[in-house]
Amino acid sequence: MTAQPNHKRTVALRVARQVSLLFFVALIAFISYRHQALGGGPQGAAPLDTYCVFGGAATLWTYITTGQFIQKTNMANLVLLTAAVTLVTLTGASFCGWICPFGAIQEWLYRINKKLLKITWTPSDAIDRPLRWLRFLILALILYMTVSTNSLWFEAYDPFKMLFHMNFSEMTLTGIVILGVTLLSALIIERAWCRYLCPLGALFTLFAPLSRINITRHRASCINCHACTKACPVQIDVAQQDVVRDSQCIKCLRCIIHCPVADTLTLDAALTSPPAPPQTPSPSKQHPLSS
Amino acid sequence: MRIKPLLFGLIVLGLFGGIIGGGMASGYWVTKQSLPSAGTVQSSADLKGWMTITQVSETLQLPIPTVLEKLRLPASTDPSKSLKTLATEQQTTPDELKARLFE
Ligand code: SF4
Ligand code: SF4
Repeated sequence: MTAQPNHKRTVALRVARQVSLLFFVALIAFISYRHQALGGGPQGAAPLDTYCVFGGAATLWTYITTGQFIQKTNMANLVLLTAAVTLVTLTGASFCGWICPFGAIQEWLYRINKKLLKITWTPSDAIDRPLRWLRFLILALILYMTVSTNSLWFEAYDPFKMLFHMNFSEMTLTGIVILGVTLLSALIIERAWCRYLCPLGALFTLFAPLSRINITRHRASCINCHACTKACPVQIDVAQQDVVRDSQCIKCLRCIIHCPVADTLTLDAALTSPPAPPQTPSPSKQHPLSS
Repeated sequence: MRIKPLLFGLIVLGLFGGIIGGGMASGYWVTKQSLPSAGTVQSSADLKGWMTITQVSETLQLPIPTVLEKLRLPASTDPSKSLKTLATEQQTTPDELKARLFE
């Protein structure tokens, strides 16, 4: 007989992550509201852009070459960028799964739709894999345009800013359309923006493979039910891997929560080198989506 | 070394919050824009929408009535109002308003 996972612990894990995401959504909404209420400058409150991790990446080149910051960015952006990159280097793209407010909104939208309308779509690998490269194109375009215009070029199109800015008079039509399309696609495809378009996610992909903490699948106890693969919001085939080193893994730990056999999926930290896969033989493989 | 999932969540939040906290404690956490030093403003791009008439007058080293005149605003305008607020009141954009100072 196989050991069952501790139900209380899986509930606590779900709740902890959702509370964390809710906290950051509320924090960013408060920061934005405070700026709109008090105005900017020394007498007011800093704009949303100053609290954006990607703002750090956008202003970094200007800061290195001139010692100045692009308008609306500040030293706080560089502190945030340092924190996020360190986090991703040590733990993988956990920023996306535990902190990012825009990721949270997408996740909630998808869940609501899955419960109510049930109109969802899981792109096949043939579509999913090429689309993921779009993020790098967008990252390169934004960095190029930011440096060449010496301004936050992307702010007029950024769906994160459009959603949280709380000032309709400053919203651009293109930005509203992009936000609409992004939210609509997030309803149908889980975390669509994160997976295919997010420039910050592209940046994280460069550091996430260095992660010291990864999910290990223990073949000896795995019953090949593929519940982990089905639960993964970014379509990682967890059931076919010994160690999940995919840089797309947002460390949401849903695979661990859904695994019916206790301690079959674990989080392991390797301080010197990535954890070695278990050597035990794998049971016969099933189709990835079979139950 | 095995890490319990809940502990992992704490590590993520602790690490992120810890680095930001370190930045705050060491004085690197700067969020507020500062006023450009007097005499350093070269173009309207150096003026920000959040600047009040008083701050514009300080940075440009011009008396408040002159600033209001250049902005084509009534002399009775409250100098503690920001360019952004005044632009909205005048149904124009902060950029257009700022440009008047350099005409
Ligand atoms: S379900 Fe597992 S593999 Fe998929 S993103 Fe979450 S933690 Fe990573
Ligand atoms: S959920 Fe994944 S790891 Fe767990 S038993 Fe099923 S296939 Fe194996």
